[in-house]
Amino acid sequence: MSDKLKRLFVYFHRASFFIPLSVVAGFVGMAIFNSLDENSFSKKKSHGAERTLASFQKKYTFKPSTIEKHLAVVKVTLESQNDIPDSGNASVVLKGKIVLTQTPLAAKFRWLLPEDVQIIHGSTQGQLDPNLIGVAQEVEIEISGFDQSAQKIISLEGQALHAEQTFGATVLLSSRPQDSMEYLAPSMKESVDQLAADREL
Amino acid sequence: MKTILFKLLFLSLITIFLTACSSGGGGSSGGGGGSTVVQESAFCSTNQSFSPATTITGSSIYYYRPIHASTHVLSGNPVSDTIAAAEIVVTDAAGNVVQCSSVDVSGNFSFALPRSAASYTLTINSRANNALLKASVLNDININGLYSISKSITLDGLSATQAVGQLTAYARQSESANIEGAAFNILKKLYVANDFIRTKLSQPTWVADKVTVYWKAGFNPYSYYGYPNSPLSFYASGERKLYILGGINGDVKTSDTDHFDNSVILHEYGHFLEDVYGKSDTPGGSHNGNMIIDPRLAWSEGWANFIQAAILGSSYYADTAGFCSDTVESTGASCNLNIYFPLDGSGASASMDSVSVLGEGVYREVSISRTLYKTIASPISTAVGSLRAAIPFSEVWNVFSGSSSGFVSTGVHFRNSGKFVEFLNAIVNTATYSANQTAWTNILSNEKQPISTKYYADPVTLTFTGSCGKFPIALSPVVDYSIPAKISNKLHSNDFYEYYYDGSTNIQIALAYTQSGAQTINLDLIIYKKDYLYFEEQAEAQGETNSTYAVRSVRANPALETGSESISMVGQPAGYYIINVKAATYGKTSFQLNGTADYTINETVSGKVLCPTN
Repeated sequence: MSDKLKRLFVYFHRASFFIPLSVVAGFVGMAIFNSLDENSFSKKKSHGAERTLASFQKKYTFKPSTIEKHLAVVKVTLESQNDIPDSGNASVVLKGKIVLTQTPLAAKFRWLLPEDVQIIHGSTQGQLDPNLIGVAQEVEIEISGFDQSAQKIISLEGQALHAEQTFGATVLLSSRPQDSMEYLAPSMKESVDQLAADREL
Repeated sequence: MKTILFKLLFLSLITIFLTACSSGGGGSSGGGGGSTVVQESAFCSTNQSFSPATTITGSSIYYYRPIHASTHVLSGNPVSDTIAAAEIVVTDAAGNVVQCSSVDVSGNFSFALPRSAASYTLTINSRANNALLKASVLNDININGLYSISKSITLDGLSATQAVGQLTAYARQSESANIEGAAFNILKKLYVANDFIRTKLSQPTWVADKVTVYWKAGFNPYSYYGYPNSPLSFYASGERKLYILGGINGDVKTSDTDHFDNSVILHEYGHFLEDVYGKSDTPGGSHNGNMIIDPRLAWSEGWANFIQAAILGSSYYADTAGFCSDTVESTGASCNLNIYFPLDGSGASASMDSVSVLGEGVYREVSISRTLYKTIASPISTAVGSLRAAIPFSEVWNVFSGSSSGFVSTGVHFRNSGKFVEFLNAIVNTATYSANQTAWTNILSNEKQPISTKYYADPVTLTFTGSCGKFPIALSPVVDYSIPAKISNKLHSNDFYEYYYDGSTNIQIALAYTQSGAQTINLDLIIYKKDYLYFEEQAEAQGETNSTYAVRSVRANPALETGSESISMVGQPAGYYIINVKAATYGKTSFQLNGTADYTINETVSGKVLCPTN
């Protein structure tokens, strides 16, 4: 056997011993790492954080709070008081809330309904109290024909005359929100966050 | 042997760690949330030369919905403007890229193709990566796709030049479902912003770092963060990403949309500029336009309101919903004005964020916007109803982005308009601007903007009692706001001081105060960490907690107010803090708050006081 072959044999002989050993040792190391209690790990992290090396700083992650268009003069929200039926003419009660943030000269609301939706109870338009500032003024309507057989959209619009300008806002309610991109958006964001997290490893 | 085993253990751990790393990243796509993420495609940047060549020429426009001059809603038929700086990609029949170019500032283009008989597709994309603009307008965060308009070109192989006519991006859904005109409107406004800054700074080569804009017709991007029913455009701080509201649930006819609201687009770009070239300490948060708010938030929002007006050359901020009076698409459409406020009027009579007492302007975002707007507006005017100081925008920008003597200086903390005005005032009060000074002073007076940090984050230093002429300071609190919740009035019911603690000295801060007036006022002493969130008493009453407290002394509604609060700084790390002297006002009526507390901030170990600078 040549010297090269002998060295190769010794190498594989050692490797056959050390590779499984190293794998076992790796898992032992991970187990030890995982067994560190939260406090001891936190101490190590905080020690590193005190150094504030730029390369160690975790990328800032943007997380917006629940905010809205804060300067809007009229704010409108809308929700269904009962489940939207799959089909048929079962009634649905919709409740809207309109908030005026400034003192207007006058204020009003109106519902915009699809042609195949009928009113059972309530008015499609009316006046709001212009003196109620910062208080949700509720408007309610009972309808039929608003079902999930097809995408149907109902709008509630609030308007206020303020400082020689007419301000307003509209909110929509879909009979099939599950068909919207808004419905899918959180999982899309989750995918992006997961990819970013994977890359940080 | 121990050493070998340790090395093996280490190598094994490294191997496992690297395996974990490579399995998740490194590729151009991925994601574990059920959707595939595709990265934005690489820019087409190499301009090719050909010989012989055929020079292709043409132009490009986009349509947008105009704002009505008096009602300020989106009204009328779409009108056109030229596309600027956008990327051009030319592909052959097999889809291979044969040429890269870009549109010029007038919407025109000119590039070479091989002089041979062949067919090509010319595409203009909603992005730019050149000396004029670095920005991409993309459809969503998973696909990262571009908006584009394209045209087929057929060359005869003989001509030295060929005009291909005009490419058009439309604003009506009936003309193009994706409303590419909106994407190119956003891109154009970002170009206008860059051009404005280049021109005003007299720096022809200036171009902002790349920004990514996510926009889709009929989609509310706030849904990404779990708020599908709150239509909103926003800037993702630290990520250099703008999210522009395209509507809701597929609707662009009645819903709130921002793709043609240039005020909103450039307001959000203003936050990007602040993030990249300035510095912000804003804690964020919700509020309305007639409210005293955190001065750090007021500054950041006030800046963004201002910069959009400066760039657009307009004197207002407008945010619309839907559109109307389109002769083709009016069916089912309605238009509204969500937000509108002028920036050129008097602060005393403003419809939004009017001001009445000195220092109030620091706490009101629209007052800050008006102050900055009137500072750069020209020509000079000292009349109260039309104040204009004609200070060059470059001076405002220099303070905004200055790293040695501006807002980005390492010595500046708790950034607010008082500090900004202090910096700018030092520039205006030089011989260069002697003609502007009266108007400048009148603007500050009208908007109740102090030329110092006296009303927020005024630095305090340990001083012998006899050498500090500031104390006692009177605090006469007022009832809380009731909208949208019980919110303490940060100007009248609080005082805020900037304090640097060295992390080692035994510092014991004591608040001593005496009462005057009909009712007893209860003062609390709160020390906030640098990036603090102001904590409302109502939130505390509802069981919420605040991790940005460093330490505080809050005696809960004592039956008899003894007039003292004290805390120890021992154990706190070195750094900048806010000392908040706060009147307990939660649940109290104006009758119950009819009094004044006169306080002094003592340091009991040294026997000195923490004396305010201003």
